[in-house]
Amino acid sequence: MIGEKSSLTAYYSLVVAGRTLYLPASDILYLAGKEEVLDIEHIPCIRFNGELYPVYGFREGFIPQPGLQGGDSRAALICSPESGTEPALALSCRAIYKLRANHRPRRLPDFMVGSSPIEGVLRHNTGWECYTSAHQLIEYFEKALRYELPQFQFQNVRLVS
Amino acid sequence: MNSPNSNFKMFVWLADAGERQSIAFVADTLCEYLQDVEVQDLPTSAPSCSHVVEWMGHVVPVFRLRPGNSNEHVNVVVLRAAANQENGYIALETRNAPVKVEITDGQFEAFDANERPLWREALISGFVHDGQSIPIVHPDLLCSKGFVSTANSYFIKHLRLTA
Repeated sequence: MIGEKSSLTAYYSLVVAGRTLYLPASDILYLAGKEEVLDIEHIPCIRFNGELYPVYGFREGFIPQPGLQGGDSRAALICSPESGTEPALALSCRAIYKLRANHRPRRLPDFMVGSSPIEGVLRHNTGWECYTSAHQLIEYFEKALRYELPQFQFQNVRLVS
Repeated sequence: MNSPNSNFKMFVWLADAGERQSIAFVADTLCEYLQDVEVQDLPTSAPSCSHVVEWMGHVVPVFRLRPGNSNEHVNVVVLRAAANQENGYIALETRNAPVKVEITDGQFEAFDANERPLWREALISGFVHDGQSIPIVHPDLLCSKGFVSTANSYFIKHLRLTA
């Protein structure tokens, strides 16, 4: 969540669906390569600490899709917002960079981003980049997948190996 | 005998939001007019409010009635809107600088809200100016679900018509 006195200074910058998305560094637990993505019963997933987690991504327009997206070669394992330490799902991305910033993220109002995977903006160089969090991303996937991909039951994100 | 309000006068800012949509704001809700300012787009946000502008250190959502690109330069008015709980401001794209006009009691009576259905959810009053019904809208109501939903539909319809 974005707070007025945020102490977050480390972020990951992910290139997804042709855009750059910033997340707090603490929201990403592991970075998997393309070769680590498995197909278990037609569900693309990665293995982490002996358990399987599904991989989702965004195609153009931030439409959610299962698996690594065209041109993507990484999957960032995102933590569950409830625990903050337990993994929830992996997000397909083309590139990922870690950086530190002095600027705090600026939250945008619900009437603007209420049904968006984006939570606000973060100043980078001279412009503003999209900022999100594990909480916002997972909430968006939960909502969107219910309509877009009913065959993928989001409740079963963690598949016991 | 004159009614108690027969000499009633007030000032409003008259703005052209483009697409033949003239609207007005009560004087104290308008903060500043920004000419030729850069707006930045935000993917997946509400179609009618998918850009932001930086103003006085704030990141301000911009309402637009037409499709636009990222990093485009446009004219906007910055409005005081407590309903944006993040920083208390919103902006609206306009074609040119707003004009201060004085309206009198008689101008209110002839206003027809049906001529301006897009603004119905944000309306606090209205008047007739140069033969046109001009809605007086409140910035807080522009942030309401009702207005954003109507504006999104208008925007999508407009996009389809111009495609």
